[in-house]
Amino acid sequence: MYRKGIMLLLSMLLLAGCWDERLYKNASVVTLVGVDGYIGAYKGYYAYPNTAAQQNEVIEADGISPRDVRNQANLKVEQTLDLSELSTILVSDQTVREPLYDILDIYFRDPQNPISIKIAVTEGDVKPFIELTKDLAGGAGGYYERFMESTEENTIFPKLDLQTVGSMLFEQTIDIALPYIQLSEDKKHAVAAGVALFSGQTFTGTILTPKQSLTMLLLMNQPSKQARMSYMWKHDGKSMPITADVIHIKRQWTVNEELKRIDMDYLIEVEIEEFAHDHLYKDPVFKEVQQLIQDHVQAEFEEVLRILQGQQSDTLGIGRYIRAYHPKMFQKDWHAVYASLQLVPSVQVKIIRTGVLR
Amino acid sequence: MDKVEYMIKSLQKAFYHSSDLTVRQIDWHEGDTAILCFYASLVDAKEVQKILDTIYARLDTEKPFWSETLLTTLDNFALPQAIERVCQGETLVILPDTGKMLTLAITNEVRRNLEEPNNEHILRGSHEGLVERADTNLTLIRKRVNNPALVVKSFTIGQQTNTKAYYLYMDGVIRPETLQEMEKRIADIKIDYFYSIGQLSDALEDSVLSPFPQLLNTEHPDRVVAHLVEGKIVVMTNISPSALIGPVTFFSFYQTPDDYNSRVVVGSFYKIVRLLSFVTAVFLPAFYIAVISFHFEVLPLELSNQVKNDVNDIPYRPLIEALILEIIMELIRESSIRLPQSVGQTIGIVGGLVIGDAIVSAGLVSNLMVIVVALTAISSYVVPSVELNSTIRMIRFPFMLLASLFGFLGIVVGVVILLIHLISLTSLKQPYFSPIVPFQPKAVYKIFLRWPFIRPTVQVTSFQPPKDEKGKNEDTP
Repeated sequence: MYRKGIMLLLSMLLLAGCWDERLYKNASVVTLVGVDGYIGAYKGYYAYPNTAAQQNEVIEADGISPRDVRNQANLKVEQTLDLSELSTILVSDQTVREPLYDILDIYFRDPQNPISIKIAVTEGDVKPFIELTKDLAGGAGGYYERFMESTEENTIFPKLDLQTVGSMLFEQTIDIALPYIQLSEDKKHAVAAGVALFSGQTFTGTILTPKQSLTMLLLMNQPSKQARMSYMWKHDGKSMPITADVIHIKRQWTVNEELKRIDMDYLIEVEIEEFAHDHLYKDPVFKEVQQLIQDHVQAEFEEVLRILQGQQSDTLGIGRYIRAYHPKMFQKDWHAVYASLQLVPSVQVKIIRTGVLR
Repeated sequence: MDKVEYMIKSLQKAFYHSSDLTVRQIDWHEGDTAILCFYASLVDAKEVQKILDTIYARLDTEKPFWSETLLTTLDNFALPQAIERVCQGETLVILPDTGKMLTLAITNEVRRNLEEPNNEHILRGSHEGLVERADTNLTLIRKRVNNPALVVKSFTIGQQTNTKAYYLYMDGVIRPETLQEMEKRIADIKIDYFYSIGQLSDALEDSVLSPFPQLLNTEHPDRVVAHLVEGKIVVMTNISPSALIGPVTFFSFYQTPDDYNSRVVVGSFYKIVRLLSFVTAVFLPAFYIAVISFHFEVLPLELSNQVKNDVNDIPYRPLIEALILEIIMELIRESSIRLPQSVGQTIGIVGGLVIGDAIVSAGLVSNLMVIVVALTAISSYVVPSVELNSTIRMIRFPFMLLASLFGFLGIVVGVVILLIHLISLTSLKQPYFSPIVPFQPKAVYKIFLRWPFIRPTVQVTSFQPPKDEKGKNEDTP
């Protein structure tokens, strides 16, 4: 009896772990997920590496919800689809017209799901974007992850992942802008085409061009490793390109509660990275170049702010700022208030470095 | 029957008519007869003859202390003492007329040369090793510590074998409790037939069933001395080149004379490398099993394809796969120890190249598993002590089992159990995991770093000295 009890106890203790076991060889590690369609008729794409052929396999499935799509896809795979190494989710621009969280919900409910993954919006159907990874030797998700990370470093895409997106989706006071990608003309690789503006949970339909999204990120005070701006300088009848890299931004917002006006003062310190004309050390040239960049940036700031307000997309987090420092001015239906605000940017550009050529 | 003949008979009987026993009647001074009795196998006959010649000459001059030399003593004859002395290799000359016996302590020197210990190779420092003779070993140690505070106490082990053994300590440096504890344990030894050092360490250890050795086993006299001056006790026997040192801590097993003979920075670096090898040696296979069967999301994406490719075609569960390779590894090790050195090299080639390569092509284990097991084996052999080395190789098996049942959770539970065991373990009643538990902040760095010898006056100890220093060693020279 005693011995039996011990055997029972031991086997209960030791075998308990087997239920949690998931052998690596029995799992198909999905690295890229694509979502298309709308509630009731979703289409999902799952790309996982086929190790023998050094290729990526794509499984396509239909279903009424994202979870149902995954179940349907599982029927078509010899092993279990495992999303614990997922690195990118691609969503078509039609799907994000509906609330984004409908799609993301299943990723938050599963504790094995990583939340440091990237999300991007595709132009048109997701399918070609997934298919182009088929011939890649590396992982499909890895391709898009690297693609987005390098674009983030050039200050085109904002630094976002599933976790930050999730928390911002439920916040009234700040909106997200997701990376927007297009197909290249030969349909063989993806091209960064700016950011897709969201208002609340839904896509507004407006896309900022890469140049505009860089401006937006400067407004957000989030310059990454490089933030390059190029302009033409007309001098003595000749055109001369100038490229400036943003080194540092200082911003100050002054809120006038009665006038509902925000003065946005920006001091942008730049390094000149391209200026074939040279003689930047001469004071008149220096001043002129500085003024030129300042005028351009000022114009861009105004334009981007106009678009953002027009789309009721508060990606700058002005609502957060107002709620924190001017709570009286904050109203529950923030997006409407935001659109009616008077945002007055004023930019001052300072060239602090001119490259090693003196 | 005359008295002499009777004595010869009874002596022969006392020694069970052993063939190598010589009992003979000889002429002594002025017509007296004497009985010569010795074990031919233990006595250096030529030397005995020389001493006897000297004594004959002295007898003729009728000096009162004719019997006193460095090697001889004159006692009253008693059979038990006589037997004991003969057994120890001394030569007995019994003088029946006066009822006295003369003993000559000249034993046949059976000893091997001082060689470098085979299982404790070092790069720099002394290459002398202890041998299977206590007096030679004592010479090697006395040579290094020219100080009367080095105390040597002798005792015998084995009720039947009466093997000579010694324990050594530095008076004034050693803590009295430790000495008492050791003396108590030595007094409690109950061994009839003593023939191996393992019997002694079993009798002296705190917990025999623990996988961790609690007495340090070394054949290096300089290592012995280093521990003596730290206030430890060393036990040596007449039959084994190993010296047992206690009390020791877990980290003593990770030290080698090389650390202290090389440069400070270099020595510290290798000390750290060696300590880190403990982690790989014990946990690496378990970690791999846990990753492959529970938590493969921790693998970076770039690596995961490769791993998946390797693992996909293996027919067995990761635990079985690991066990196959680990057991092959242990077989190779065991066989290379038993084989003569010239053949031992072949085993390395067969094991490393043939099995290592073929087992992957045959699809029994994956490439990565070979890497993991090889890395584990290398890191387990880094440990300078043979005892701890085998312990480490053994305790990774329970970890592998736990990892295959519970993944990382199992490893964590195993680590907790291991730490509880290590912390509660004692060596001669001193904490085994000493500078860490009980925590001594000033001593912890010594585990990882070898500090320069520039402050010679500080007494080095592994354990915290008692708070009241009053009764301590005023008489230390």
